[in-house]
Amino acid sequence: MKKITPNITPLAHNQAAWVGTTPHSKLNDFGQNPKSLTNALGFHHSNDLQGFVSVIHTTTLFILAGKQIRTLISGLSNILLSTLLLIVCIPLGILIYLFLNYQVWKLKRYALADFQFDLSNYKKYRQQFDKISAEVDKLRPLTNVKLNQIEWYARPFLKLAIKAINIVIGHHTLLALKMKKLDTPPSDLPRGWRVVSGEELWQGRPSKYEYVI
Amino acid sequence: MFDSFYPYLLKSKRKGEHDETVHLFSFTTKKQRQIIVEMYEHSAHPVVIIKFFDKAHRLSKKRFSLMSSSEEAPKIIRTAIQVMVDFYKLNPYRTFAFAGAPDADGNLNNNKRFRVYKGVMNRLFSDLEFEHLQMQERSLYVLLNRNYCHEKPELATEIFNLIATCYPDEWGPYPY
Repeated sequence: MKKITPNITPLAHNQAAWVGTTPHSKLNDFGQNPKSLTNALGFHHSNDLQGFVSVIHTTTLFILAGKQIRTLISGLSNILLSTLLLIVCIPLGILIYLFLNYQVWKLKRYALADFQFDLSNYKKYRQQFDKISAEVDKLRPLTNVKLNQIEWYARPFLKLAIKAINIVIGHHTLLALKMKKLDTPPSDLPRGWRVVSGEELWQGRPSKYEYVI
Repeated sequence: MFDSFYPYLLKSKRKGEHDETVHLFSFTTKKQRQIIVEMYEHSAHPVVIIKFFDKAHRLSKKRFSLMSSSEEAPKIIRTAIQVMVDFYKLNPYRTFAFAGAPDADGNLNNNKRFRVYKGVMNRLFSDLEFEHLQMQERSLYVLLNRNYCHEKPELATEIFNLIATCYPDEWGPYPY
């Protein structure tokens, strides 16, 4: 039986090696290497903020839950009870700390990605941006908390939380700026004309409609 | 509400007073009313002015102001918009302009038609391709094409001058 060999010229082979492509058999449905770091984080959807939104949501939940636990522990008047609770919480605290650390790592990676929007994903982008804004509103008051104002055991968590919050707020500002660029009015508009900002248009529209242009 | 539209036909093309091409479209509503959509396309800049009216009122001077008494209005407006959308697809550099014709009492400031058009534009047109410009006092609305004006912002001024010169009554310079 005749053996079929792939017809790869040395040049083509070298080019494949040069650009660092993965053999086709190992690529995922998106034509990308599933083992790469960016794909593991879902970066093949660089025009979709969904991954970023869900990481922010989980982080917010954890930070707010941590805040509640801290309030619970510090609110206990009985020293013995609060110490006991603290001891019980130590393994849980370690887990939360590690998880928060992981969330910060993920947020950092997402903050590096460049999210693009066009007509196909503009509505979704706006909706996801609104979700991020809601999370930012929940997190923002925590930036005013000083480290020396809280108990020793909560400080490492707060440090991490502030790190995460700063990343989220920073990226939220960047996304807002990106959309604000659209509102730049053309030069020398005749008197009486008003540019309707993207934000104003978005706030005033019923969500069930799809854009035609 | 503004989801569906009627099929329409291009009836004729003629030259306008200001050397613009007037495309005349028509469609028939469910209640057998014939609606005419006029698209005034200019050649100096890709600007299109949209007007529509009931054919039964074609001889009236107030044909743009006469209100539709039926519940067909959303579908009629949506069809006029669809003509606009198809025009845009043919040339994605087009800018669109329209005016809310005065109410029966002559009111021009943020009148009923303008409020309806404003809402529809908000629903159907994103601010990605067009800059939404309004002059509420005279019920004027312009969808300024970003693709066309992006490189040279002064083109926007030229477009406004062109419209104001051609249609001074509606689009002329702001008097106060």
